[in-house]
Amino acid sequence: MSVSAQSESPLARLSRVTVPAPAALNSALARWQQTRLSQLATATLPTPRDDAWKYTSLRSLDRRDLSPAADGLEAQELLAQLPTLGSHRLVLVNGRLDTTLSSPQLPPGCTLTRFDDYFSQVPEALFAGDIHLIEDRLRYVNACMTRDGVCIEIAPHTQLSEPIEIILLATGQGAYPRVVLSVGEGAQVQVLEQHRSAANTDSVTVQSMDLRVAPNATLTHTTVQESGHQAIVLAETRVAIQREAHYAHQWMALGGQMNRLDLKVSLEGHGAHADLSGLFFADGSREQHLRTLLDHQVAHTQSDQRYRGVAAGRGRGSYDGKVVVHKNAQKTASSQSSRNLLLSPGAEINTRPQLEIHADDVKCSHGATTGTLDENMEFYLLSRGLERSAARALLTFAFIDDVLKKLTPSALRTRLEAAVLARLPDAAILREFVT
Amino acid sequence: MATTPQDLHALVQQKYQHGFVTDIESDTVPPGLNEDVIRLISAKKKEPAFLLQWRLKAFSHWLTLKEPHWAHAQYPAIDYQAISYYSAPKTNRDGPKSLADVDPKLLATYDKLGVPLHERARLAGVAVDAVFDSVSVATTFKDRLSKAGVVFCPFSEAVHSHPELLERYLGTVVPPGDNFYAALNSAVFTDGSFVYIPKGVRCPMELSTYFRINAANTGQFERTLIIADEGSQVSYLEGCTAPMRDENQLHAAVVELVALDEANIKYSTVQNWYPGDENGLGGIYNFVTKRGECRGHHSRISWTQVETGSAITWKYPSCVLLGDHSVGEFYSVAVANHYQQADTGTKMIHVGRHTKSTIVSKGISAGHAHNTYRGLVKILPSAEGARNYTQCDSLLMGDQCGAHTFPYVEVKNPSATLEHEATTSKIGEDQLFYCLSRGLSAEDAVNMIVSGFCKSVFKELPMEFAVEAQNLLAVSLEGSVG
Repeated sequence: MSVSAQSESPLARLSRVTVPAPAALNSALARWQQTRLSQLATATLPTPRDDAWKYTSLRSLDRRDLSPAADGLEAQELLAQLPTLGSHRLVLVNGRLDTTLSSPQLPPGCTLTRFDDYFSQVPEALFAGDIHLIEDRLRYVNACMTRDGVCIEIAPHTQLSEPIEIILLATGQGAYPRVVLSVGEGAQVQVLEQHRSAANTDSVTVQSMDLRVAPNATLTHTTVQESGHQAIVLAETRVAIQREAHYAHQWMALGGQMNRLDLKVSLEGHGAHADLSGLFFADGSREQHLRTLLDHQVAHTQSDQRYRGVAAGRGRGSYDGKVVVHKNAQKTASSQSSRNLLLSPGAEINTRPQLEIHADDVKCSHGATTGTLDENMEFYLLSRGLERSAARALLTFAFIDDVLKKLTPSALRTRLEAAVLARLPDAAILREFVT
Repeated sequence: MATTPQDLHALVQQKYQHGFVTDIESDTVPPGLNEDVIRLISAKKKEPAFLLQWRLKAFSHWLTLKEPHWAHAQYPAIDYQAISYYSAPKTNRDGPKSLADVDPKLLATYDKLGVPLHERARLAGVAVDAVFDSVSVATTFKDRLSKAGVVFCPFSEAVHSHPELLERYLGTVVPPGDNFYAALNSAVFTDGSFVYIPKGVRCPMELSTYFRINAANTGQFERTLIIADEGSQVSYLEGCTAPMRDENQLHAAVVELVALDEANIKYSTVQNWYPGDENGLGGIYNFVTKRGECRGHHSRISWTQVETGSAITWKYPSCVLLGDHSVGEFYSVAVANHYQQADTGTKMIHVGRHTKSTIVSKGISAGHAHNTYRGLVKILPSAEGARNYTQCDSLLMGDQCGAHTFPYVEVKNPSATLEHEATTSKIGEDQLFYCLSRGLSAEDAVNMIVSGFCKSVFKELPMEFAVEAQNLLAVSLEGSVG
């Protein structure tokens, strides 16, 4: 690569990519994208000087090719590693819906629309409200590049007994998945979002997800990140929770080289409740970053956040959570908790639990801790004859499992527990304790 | 609640009690900032060449800097060319030698403010180095201090009496180019206090400076430098009031603390500058850089502040914990009422092994005010066994105000232990009800609950200050809750 090409922003390079427009795609979306793509030419990626990216450096993207990946042959192989957790599966390969790998149909009450078609009916779907090229850079990139995303609509009062699995596979350079999910009034749904990528592939995923939870509906959303160790995933999920609706999200960040989730939740109706929890495990030289924004727009809303993080080796992790309570949002209740474990000298954890409050009758709290394993607990295990490394691994597992054990369905929990165990030292000894 | 809206209105409208202007002729430089003004300030102070060069270097660096706007505050743009950068009382230009030489008008001003300068100073056991605008006018208790070997004098005097200490320490904690306001201060600072505590000396009394901004249109740029040599101990008090006026006044001070091996510095501030009127008109812009370095092992720096004044406060007293086993502390009560905006907090940078820091911050917002805690705790890879505890609580009074918390916690050493907790709430109705049922007025009940909320900070203040702080708090908040 020439020197000039290296100093050029990866977005500028991307702006020159001619996306091969499939015949069927001579659509409103394609036209929208063609007029916007050129704006990327002058755009640069965010740097740690941008407050929102203080702890995430995107410099590794400079050396990556972001052009959209072709259909991958390894998709089937990757999919085979994921035992089914229900009978409804949507598989997006490099951001595009793969109908051959997906379930032939979704359960009754669920309608699947291709994002391209959805966009022609609802043009504001890409940007409801203003787009700000600087602040929403990655969302803008996704909008310019996405193809064949999915839009799922759940009819009012639908109750699904099995989760809907959304599986995102990356097998090449750039993937730009777009998912819209709208849960109708009074419906109850669980969605499992699982990320995998081909080993030894420098994939970059820039994802955008929009979720709407209508009044009285319940959406349980689990994100499992198990991409390969060269994958970079930058995801943004926007959630709108309406009156008396409930949104629960679990973030399980285990894989990838760098993984970042921006979770922006707006509580828009009285009685709306967001319950966010999860964990990250940054071992090796992995980076796991979470940024949440809880926007309490009206009175009588509630949000809870409980996160745990583990950084080992040269791993880096961050939790940057912000709760905003608007002027009229009285009686807001909000809690934030971030507990972190730092296991080795090269590791790093940064936390920033923020509160911005413009109403007076609120109860908001946050707590954050960072430290190492409890000496007393370690001593107890040593006194029972365990080697130090096994004792430390067992305590680390216990710390992680506090979050994992609450996962449903149980098959997912078992699989993730085994995956975490396999990555800890003395896994064989640990298995004797953890059955 | 028992109070009627009329009562509340009357209480909230309460005027700033220290608002008046003493009519003394000032020797003021025309507004504007350029190298000539800096040369003039330096010449007026008869400064040695190294200091002039230092100022000019800071100025040329300042020209390259952009004014920071990341603080959670909104205010009209400041025209730095419209400020006069030097103002000295004309009478006694060569500096009074004793209290008898001090202009009686000045002393009257201090009387109104309740500064214990003559008998009261002795009774209170406080040595006062009062800064009236930019020139120090009276220094007391010099004899007793000099017997102990303590140097406590106006900065402009230290330039002549202890140039070697200045050259060695000035700008080593807050470098001239540290930030926009520190660079501005380094270029144009006019006076301040200088303290040196020699090895093994426990300062025999609490040192105190009262700052006061007076002449219209003059920014106040003090520079304070405190050096505590090995095994020494000092407690330093700083308090401020300012006269009432309509245009905003800029205040950009720099405070540098150096604690060597086993030294202990306690720095307390009560800040009660003019906060602007009830419509948010006027008031002081308080953009201050305060930083201390614990350079020696087992050294300790403790910041305690009660911030009730200023239209805008932008202030982060920080500790750099370099020495092994050094300790940094920050205790703060920040009150913002009417249209005040306070963005304040601290930075604790842990470098040395087994360093410890404690942060206790209490923010109170009322009226249309915004109160922000912004803090950084950074554990560098070398800070083996570092420990931090942070607690920041906010109390909201009224539905038009805001309370914000922006803590940064960055950890690069696995043996460190950090805890951070924060809460935001309003005064509980059950708490109020209980007090009312015991026969307290709503006003007293609120005062009592608020002082309970702030108690963990007030108990860190020296006694004289604790009393003053408690009164200030009551005045600042009277009638804010209905």
